[in-house]
Amino acid sequence: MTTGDRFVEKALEGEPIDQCTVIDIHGHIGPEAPDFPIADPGLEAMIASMDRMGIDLACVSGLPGLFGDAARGNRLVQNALERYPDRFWGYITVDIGYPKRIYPELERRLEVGFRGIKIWSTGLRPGLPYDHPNYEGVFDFANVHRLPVLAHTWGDELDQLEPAIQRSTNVHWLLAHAGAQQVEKYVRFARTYPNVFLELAWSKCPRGLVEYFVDEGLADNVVWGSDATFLDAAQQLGRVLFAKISPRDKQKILGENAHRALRLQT
Amino acid sequence: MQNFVICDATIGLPRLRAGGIEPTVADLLSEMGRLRVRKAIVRHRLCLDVGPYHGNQALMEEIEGQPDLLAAWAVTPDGRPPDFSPVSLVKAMLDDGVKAAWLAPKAHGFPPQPWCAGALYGALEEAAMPLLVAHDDLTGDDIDAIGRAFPRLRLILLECPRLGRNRNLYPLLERHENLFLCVAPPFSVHCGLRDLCRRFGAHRWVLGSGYPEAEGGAAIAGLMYAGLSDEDAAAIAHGNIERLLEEVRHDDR
Repeated sequence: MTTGDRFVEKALEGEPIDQCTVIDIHGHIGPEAPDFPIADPGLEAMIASMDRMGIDLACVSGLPGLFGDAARGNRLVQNALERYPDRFWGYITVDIGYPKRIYPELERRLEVGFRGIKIWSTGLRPGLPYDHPNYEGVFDFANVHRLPVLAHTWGDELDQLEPAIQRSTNVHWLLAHAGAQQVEKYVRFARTYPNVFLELAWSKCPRGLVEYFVDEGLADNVVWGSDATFLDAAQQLGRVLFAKISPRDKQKILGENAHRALRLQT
Repeated sequence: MQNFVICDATIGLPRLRAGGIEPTVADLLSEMGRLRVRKAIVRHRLCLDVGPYHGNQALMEEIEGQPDLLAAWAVTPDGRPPDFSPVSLVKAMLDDGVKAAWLAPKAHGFPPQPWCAGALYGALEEAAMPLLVAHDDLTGDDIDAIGRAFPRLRLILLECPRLGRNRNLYPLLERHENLFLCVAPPFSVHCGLRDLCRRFGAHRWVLGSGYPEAEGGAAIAGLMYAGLSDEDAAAIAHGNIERLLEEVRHDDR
């Protein structure tokens, strides 16, 4: 029995997606989070996993950088960029509680090939809200250099980000975990601001969320991210591969929209 | 692969309508067809919302005539009226062709420790009947106590969390060989399934789809892209749960 949808057929056989570019716009590198180690955190395991699925490019930030050690986290990413320049793309993380460290870290990493910024304000170990003054320099830097900003969000943070989204129009804002809470607000942001993209990663893999965004006319505004190695990229990929949307919209979500959001040249 | 058996489906409408999904038998069968799921172990939401035995009865009425839907009854330590005997409850399940049980201690108001539910665990162990229970319904101490007191009881943890190489579950898996995990969203762990198979073999993991809340394709893709051998993937897709169900014993004496 066949479905007529090659994305589904490939997934059912565990074959790599090769009919379109696949860009994972939300990934991580690092051996552990505070409450769990990653089973196999090595770059080789990540590449092997990407090859099994047909992921062409993974856009990553360093896990230590999310929890308070940006320099070492960025070093992990830099190592990945040096070893696999065609497979990884780097987000800079900063220690947002220490303003004097922020700008030098941004400059240093931009020079060596990082092309985006990852911010993370919430969770078990809260950082600063996105409307805190310490973020202003980060967003200005992103705006001047036309860098995308991947923001961990869970609904409420969108209100904190809205003034920066309105002000920093050169920034492509990637709102992570779109729809995990307050789904209508994400739809409003994507419709209102042309520089906003909705990223999908969420471990719960809610049924119907991808279809909802597409039904709302946002097939050009949704980007696929896995949150690996925090999460399993395969499960997150399955949410799009099996979604009840057209193959053309799957192509957009899996790669084409990310290509535009990241301003990739090739 | 075109052969999956899922172990964690729940049918039944919520008391208040939520979203556009109505988890009926028709909807479940439609999802199974879309995802190539051949059989599903099914529970009923009314077991949580109204009462365990009311829900079981509703389940049997709704899945009647559907050979691909396999009932899992909610069970309680006190059994059901009028005899309130867990032994006769398990016998009644077997008489009705039910080969899986479901424990929901938080919803049904009892501690899952053996001092309270031991007679039930003993009856299930004797029948080799798999017992489904949500990960968050048991503590690590609960699982350890149950596993030590009833080492042959097949305990299948549903709704396992995404937490990496899990510091709670791994020691329990090492201690208790009849502890099984249902891999389904939100068990979304980078290289997690490969690591489980490498450390413990492939025979202790069964598949779930997270129906009705989750996109079942996530679980399918999670398995098919895990980098397992065809043999191990098939065991997790359907072989392990089929083996457990075949081993359920019905003693007619």
